[in-house]
Amino acid sequence: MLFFSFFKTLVDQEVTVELKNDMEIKGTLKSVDQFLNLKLDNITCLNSAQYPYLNAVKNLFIRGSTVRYVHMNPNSVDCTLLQDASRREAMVQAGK
Amino acid sequence: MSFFGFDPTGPPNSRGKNGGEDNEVYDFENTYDGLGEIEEDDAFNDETFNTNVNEIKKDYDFGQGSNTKQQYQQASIPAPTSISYAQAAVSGPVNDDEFMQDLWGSSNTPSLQQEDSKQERKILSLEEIEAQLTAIDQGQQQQQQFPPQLYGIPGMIPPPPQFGGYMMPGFMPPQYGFPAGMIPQQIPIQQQQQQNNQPPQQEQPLPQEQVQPQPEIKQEAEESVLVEVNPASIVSPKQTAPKPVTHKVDLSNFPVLGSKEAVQQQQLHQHQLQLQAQLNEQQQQQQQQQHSHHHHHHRQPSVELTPEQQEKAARRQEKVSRIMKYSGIMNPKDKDFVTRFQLSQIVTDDPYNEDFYAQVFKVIHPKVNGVPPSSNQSGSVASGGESQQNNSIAQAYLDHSGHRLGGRYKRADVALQRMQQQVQKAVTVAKERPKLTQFAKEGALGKISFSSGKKPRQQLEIISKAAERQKEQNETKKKEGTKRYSKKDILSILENIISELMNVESESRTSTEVDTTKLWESLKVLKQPSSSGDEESEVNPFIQCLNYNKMLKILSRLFKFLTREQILTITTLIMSNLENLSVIKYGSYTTYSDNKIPEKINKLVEAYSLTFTKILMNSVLDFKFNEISGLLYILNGHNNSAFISTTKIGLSILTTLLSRAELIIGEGQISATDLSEWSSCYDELFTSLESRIAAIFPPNFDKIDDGSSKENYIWQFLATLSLGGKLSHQRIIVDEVRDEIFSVMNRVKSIDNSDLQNLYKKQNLLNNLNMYLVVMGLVADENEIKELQQ
Amino acid sequence: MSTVQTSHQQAEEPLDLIRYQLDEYIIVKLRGSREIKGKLQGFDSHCNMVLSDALEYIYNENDDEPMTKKSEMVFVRGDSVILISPIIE
Repeated sequence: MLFFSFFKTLVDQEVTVELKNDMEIKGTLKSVDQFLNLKLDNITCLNSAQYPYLNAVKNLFIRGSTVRYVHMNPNSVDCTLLQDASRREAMVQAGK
Repeated sequence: MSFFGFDPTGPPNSRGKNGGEDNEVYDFENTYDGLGEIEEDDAFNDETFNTNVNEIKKDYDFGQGSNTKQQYQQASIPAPTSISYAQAAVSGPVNDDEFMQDLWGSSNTPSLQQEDSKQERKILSLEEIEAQLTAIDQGQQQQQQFPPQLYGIPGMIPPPPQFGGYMMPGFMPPQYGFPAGMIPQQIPIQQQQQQNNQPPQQEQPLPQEQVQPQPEIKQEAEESVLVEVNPASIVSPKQTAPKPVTHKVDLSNFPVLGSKEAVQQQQLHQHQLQLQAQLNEQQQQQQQQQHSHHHHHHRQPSVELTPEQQEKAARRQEKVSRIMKYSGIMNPKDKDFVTRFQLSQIVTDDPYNEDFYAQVFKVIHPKVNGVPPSSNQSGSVASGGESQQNNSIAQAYLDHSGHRLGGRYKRADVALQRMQQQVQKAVTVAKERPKLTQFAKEGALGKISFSSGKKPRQQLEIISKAAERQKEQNETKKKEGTKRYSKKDILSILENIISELMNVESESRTSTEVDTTKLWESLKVLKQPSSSGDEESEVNPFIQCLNYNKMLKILSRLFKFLTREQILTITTLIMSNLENLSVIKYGSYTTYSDNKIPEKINKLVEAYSLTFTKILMNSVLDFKFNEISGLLYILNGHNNSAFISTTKIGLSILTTLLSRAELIIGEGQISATDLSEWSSCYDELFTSLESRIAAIFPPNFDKIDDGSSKENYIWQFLATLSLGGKLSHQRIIVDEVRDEIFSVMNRVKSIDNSDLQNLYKKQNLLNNLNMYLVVMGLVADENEIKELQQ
Repeated sequence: MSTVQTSHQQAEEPLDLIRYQLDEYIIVKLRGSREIKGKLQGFDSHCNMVLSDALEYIYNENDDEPMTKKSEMVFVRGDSVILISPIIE
């Protein structure tokens, strides 16, 4: 649940999602679920020359499993907290 | 098929600049390039599709409507809306077990029922459907017993294919969070079980075709529409009787039920049958009630059908089939269930563990959205203060972690300012003591006149004690029983420390008495004695941990749980191992041929000034005078102080100890023995430093020094060193750093007063210099150095 | 060379090795001839990760030099991950 929790803090922030088919989609993160499926608003496809299909699309849903990377503004991440949260999650997992 | 609902073969909006391109048809298959293959390895695939990935093609047709495709040429009509979630939730049972049971057992069946009746009668208004459902719910709640004989009611036809064949296995995607254990692994077996479980009441044999998806069924449905004059007469009771059971067989293949005990299934099954019976009856009643209504609509065309009317009817049928294609897939309770399930995944009883990051983040960065977070980081404590009231979780975390107190960058300044304050305080205290003689003041800078010319800096070889010892050790044999720690070992120890720390922190949230034994053990301070110059891998693990950024970050959290004695032990260990710290070992410009400290070490130095320096300063406040002189003694004995003084962190450690000692002396409570011990300690230190004091100024210091408090650490050190020294000491110091003093004076003179920035810088440079000069009763302004006026 | 064993430390699990690398630089080999180097800021049991100060290398058969891409903060989905290694200095 760590990254579900993590992405919740990025809602309404601009992110760039790179899919496994190399498509890069920039947009405002509107929602996320525990599978890290993402909903983006006001999207632009960064490599739209390659993928013109999305030119007319303003918002979309991305199945989590097709995501390769999500790039985000470093200022919206609290690294110390994220590290602690990772350790916490690892401890919980180990305790199971 | 177009996922987004527009015609994929049409030209995209953005095109059309060039007429020639208009004929180009994008190949949407490309969109999936690279996705299909990779998904084979998605761990959730089995759960998602409930089948082997290889069997899945890309051209999903969720409604299995390929055979009716050509019929869909009309503009789309809105899908029928069903009962709102709220209504469903209200009418639904409170108890979850009950909910599950009637969700999969009975309440789903009515929806199929509804589907069936719709097929017969073509159109039910929304109100009618709703009325039916309401009636069904009431019926369920009443739990009336109905004899199984009621089964063979008219008005039933075989289920549309999507229910029998396609829908069931993949319908309720376990993707929505079914625990893995509940996913049916062997559907065929369960099906068989189900069939075995069929109740004895069922007299008619189950026709095989009804279980299998039937390609002709669509057609059959259409026929049924046309012949629908008298719904009751179409289907014989014989045919329909087993049908609900068929449904149930499929229904119980749902993942949720798949894992239930056979006994439960049996019970459930009976329950279903009973409910089914009630429902059938209700259905019948409703049909009767609505009969006239339907006559109105459907009798006419069947009596006399003009071609137009037939076409109309066909269209209507299309519409209905389109609606029905998806409409029954989930009934309101299914949807409600999914919604609740999703919510249950999100809402947790234990937000501190399950949603830790988001919960704490919200408090630490209250207005992060839209606002650049850097702007509110420094104010996070103040602004967070209000919202923290509502969030004890995050508050507890903050209390214990000291997370980002005052913001990261501000904190660094605070640490440095405190150092400066301590030195200034020490100076002030010293000034109140008997003044130096007039002779001393004159002597201090008395030699200015004859040595103002700048000499090239003496190149002295300053070798760390560690380096010396390493040279010697090449011959000596290794100590027995010494452990060598790999980097992984150290990182493991370090993470273990952090884990123990987090345990202690969370324990301290609930009780005031916290057992820190394990935490102390995890530090391994007493594990392996070592001192400066030992081989890197054999150095005490705690000292090795201090080479890592994350250790520095947790230091303040850690020290909160340590006793004064433990802190003193740690400090002593550090003093005897200073040259084993990377920040010292690699932190002196003298070890580099180009006199440049690598960027990586500079970052570490920065990290130390943010964390270690401040913590040491706080800790030293609790130490007694003899402890401080002991620490200085150990430092000087185990390390080459001259080398230490060429590092920024080493110099600030010396300053911390010296200035604290001076402050205590200033309080005047120190015994003569302690004082004499201290002065012998000081003498030893001074002897090590003597003739190398100028080396504390890194080359190009005049270029680095911007007058900020960041760079005045050298003047602070000189001030403290002079404070503790006798006149002779002070003279030596002045003599050694005279060039640097005049270098600053020259810089000050060369800065023109044209803009405010320059003036500010000039003043800062003078302030820093004066911090030292004041100790000797002197003061510098932009023109000259003169005696301090009292 | 003796290894460190602490009394209360349980058997080391593979994920522990990733945990040790928190706040340290790692290199991650990914599907699609990619590697990404960066400071590990977070991870979970699926090997989902967040890296800061990241540099991605995309290897191409035709080019000797990999293409590189920088990212200040990036989430890497675990199902692309092949291996994770500490960076040995």
